[in-house]
Amino acid sequence: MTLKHLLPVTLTSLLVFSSTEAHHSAAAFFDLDATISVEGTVTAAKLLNPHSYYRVTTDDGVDWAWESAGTWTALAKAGWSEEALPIGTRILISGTPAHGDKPIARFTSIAAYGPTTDSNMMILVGLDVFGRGRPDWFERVRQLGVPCENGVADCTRVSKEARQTLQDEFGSIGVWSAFEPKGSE
Amino acid sequence: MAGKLHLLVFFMGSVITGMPLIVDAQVPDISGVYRSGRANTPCGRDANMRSIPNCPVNELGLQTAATATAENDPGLECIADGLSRQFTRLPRPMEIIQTDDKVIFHYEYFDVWRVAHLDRDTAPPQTPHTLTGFSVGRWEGDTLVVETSHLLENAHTIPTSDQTTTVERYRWNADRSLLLLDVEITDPAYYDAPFRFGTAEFVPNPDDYIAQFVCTNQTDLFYGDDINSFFDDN
Repeated sequence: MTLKHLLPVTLTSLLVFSSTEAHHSAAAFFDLDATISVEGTVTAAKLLNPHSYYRVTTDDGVDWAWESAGTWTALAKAGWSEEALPIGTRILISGTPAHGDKPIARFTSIAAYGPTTDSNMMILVGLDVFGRGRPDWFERVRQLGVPCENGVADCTRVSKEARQTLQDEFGSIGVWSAFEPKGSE
Repeated sequence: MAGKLHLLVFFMGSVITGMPLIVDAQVPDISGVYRSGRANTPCGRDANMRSIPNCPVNELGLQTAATATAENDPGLECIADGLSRQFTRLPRPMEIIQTDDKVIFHYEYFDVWRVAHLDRDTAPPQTPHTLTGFSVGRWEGDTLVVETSHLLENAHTIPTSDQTTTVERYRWNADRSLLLLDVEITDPAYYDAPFRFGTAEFVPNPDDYIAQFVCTNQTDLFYGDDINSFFDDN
């Protein structure tokens, strides 16, 4: 079964773990007033303390390091595991870029199509990063979705129709931008 | 009856001798695991510590703060925060272990242990200066008061010298749903007057526990030649 076949039943999930703490001073490392989104493939994962990182490789070959806000210990307690976002997953990831030219950022949300633990699932993460609260669409996602089954705390699955509703209501912001993985349709 | 008689004798003796009468020796039970709730920052600083408005920080303190850079942030090398900086993070989760003569604080973040010694008034001679210093504690009614000295200098977030002393006050709110913390910092080297943090809140979280915290140096990612050296080496 290919991704194309799975899309008609594409699901969305929302993984939530709250954290504002960081091993480093957030403002010193990140441009808190900027937002960036990158589409690509997960090519490496380092699930570590004080922060975990996913390497996301874009189609034109640029490698990005995307940092989790919370500690790995906190993520693990919330049910996160290596299987939550496997190598090879096609994702659209959004967050706050680091100062300077290095391709480093801290993610606030991730949209992902399989292969995940539930391979026909789309994953969205809505984080409270830097103490600024969760994205404004966070509660709406929970209203429209159902708890997902991957063991991750506060994970919600939302249908493709619900995703369209969210796009209608919130526009193309972050992971709600018109993300359709290549080859999906 | 005998107990009442003893209490009466004790009370009379206390009046005669002027010694304080301890009517209720019970102290609040604040043991347990907490997650942090509201974390107020000191001196009107914003959540990201971008400025120090309203702080009585002096020129030397500002100069010290200016030496703190992203590159020399000790956290990159898995060195835990100094106490003054730790107050701004309210590391979570936190476990409090309470005994008759000690109150022990265990923070999951960087696996930091602190002991407030209830059976001491001062630090022993030759106590070294450390990230979390030496703490003595006492109960004032329903409030645990923890006084800390012998801290290392800290330049990051809240600059504090090795002359810094801190006073923490922990107490339950009215319905015991929140453990409240007030902090005052005195540092004659870097500040013209003591200053206080706003009241912070810890939320009881009995289902949680303190997990082992294994840390990996992440300096390479931010300051190495290529981010892939970090992914390849770890």
